[in-house]
Amino acid sequence: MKWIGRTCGYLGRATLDFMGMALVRAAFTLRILTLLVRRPTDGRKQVKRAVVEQIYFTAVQALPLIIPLALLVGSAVIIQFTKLSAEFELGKAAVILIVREIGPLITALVVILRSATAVTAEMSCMTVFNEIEALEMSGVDPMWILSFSRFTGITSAVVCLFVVFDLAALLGGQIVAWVTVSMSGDIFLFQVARALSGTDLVVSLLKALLFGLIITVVSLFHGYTTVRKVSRIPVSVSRASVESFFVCMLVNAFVSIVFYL
Amino acid sequence: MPTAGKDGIDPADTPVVQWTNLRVRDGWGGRLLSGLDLTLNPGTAVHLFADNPSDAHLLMRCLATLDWPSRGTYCFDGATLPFTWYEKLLPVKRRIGYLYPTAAMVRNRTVEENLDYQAHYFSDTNLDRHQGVKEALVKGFGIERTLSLCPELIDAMEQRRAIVVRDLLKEPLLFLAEYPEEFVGRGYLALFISEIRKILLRGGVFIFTTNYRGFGKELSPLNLHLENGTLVKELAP
Repeated sequence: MKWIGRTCGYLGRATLDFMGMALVRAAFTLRILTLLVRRPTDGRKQVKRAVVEQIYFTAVQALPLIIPLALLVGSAVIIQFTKLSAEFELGKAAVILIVREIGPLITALVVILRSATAVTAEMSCMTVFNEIEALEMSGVDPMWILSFSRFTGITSAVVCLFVVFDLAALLGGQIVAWVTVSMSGDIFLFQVARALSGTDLVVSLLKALLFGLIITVVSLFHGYTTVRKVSRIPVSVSRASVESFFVCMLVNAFVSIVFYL
Repeated sequence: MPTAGKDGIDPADTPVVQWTNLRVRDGWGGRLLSGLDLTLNPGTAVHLFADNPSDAHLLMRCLATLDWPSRGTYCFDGATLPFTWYEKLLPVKRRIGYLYPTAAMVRNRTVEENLDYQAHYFSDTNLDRHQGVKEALVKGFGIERTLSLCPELIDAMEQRRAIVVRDLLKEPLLFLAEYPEEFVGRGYLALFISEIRKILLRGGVFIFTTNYRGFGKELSPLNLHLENGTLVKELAP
């Protein structure tokens, strides 16, 4: 009978730990979201500078990576689909696969690989080496300077990168359609336009927005909560990137089920 | 730079720091300070002695509002500090200068940006005055060549002097220093003391721990003893 007690105890402790973790993350998310409806009384210039810097690092610097990637993904998807249905419904396949699913996910993946890791490492270093305390002791709220700027910067960057990815991927698909099945570009674009509904656009943008939120919150949270040891920095970076990707996949599936099932 | 004092109350009458039955615990080392009662009036210098340096560090962190008490009240310049409201503590932190062994500068900004950060952040700053004071301090502490560099690219002693300049530029009401001789070295000790004297003349309080015999004698400090996790008594200089 002892093992039953031990198992129940273990399950209880694990549940309480999980609930505690979830509550802390929810409180942190709420704290960041409340910044969106407030205006900083001081330091607007610094906050604005930090937001612009973050958009530059996350969106502009990612363009040379995301455009070739989108062209490759778009081409690959259309190549596979032409094997299945020749020129029929290519536009619909492009919308279903690229706009609805692959676009937001690959954009999120690129941002996680490039920016979430960087943000977590930066925040962890700032925590471990007391730089956040230095900001605090100046009376500056790190939530404005560090969190708000990264939140708005990364989220808007994900949304913009998603749009760029979709356009580039559809362009890649169009080129492949023209080369492999001799379909004129106009027909492919017409099929895409016919298949694309308002819901597709709204849902995809919603996904991109949620992914931006998730990536920022998870990476900032792991950065701020790094135990004060240098050896914990890589652990935090690894956890943040894996958790961001997993939660993004989860949310992606949830949103798809809600809107398309 | 923030101005001290409150409406209708003579700042000279209000203690800068007033602790009543304070209890604080160090989350990492498990050290505990309790039953702390302390009143520090404007213009006071205090030499803190402790049987354990970790206790002195914890007490200093609590004074700097970096570690929060679990019991008791902490009044700063006449106002009780709301430790459950993080944002309300930030204006208080802005009025506290704190030199401690692991004090840091923000590394992705230059030394000059670090020195200017607070001044440019807050709209109530007199930037002309800030610039004048900064130039004098930078020259006085010999860190002119470091201004355009990131903190990582300058040597440790210059970085520490830059931290001293940054905290003096705040024109703090409460200045805390753990082993200040390790920040300024002997060469800049006289300048540092003269800057501390200015803080005391403005009605501020200076609390320090030191291993350097004779440090701060010219400030006639009170001696404060921290033994077995509590303050034993204040002695006249």
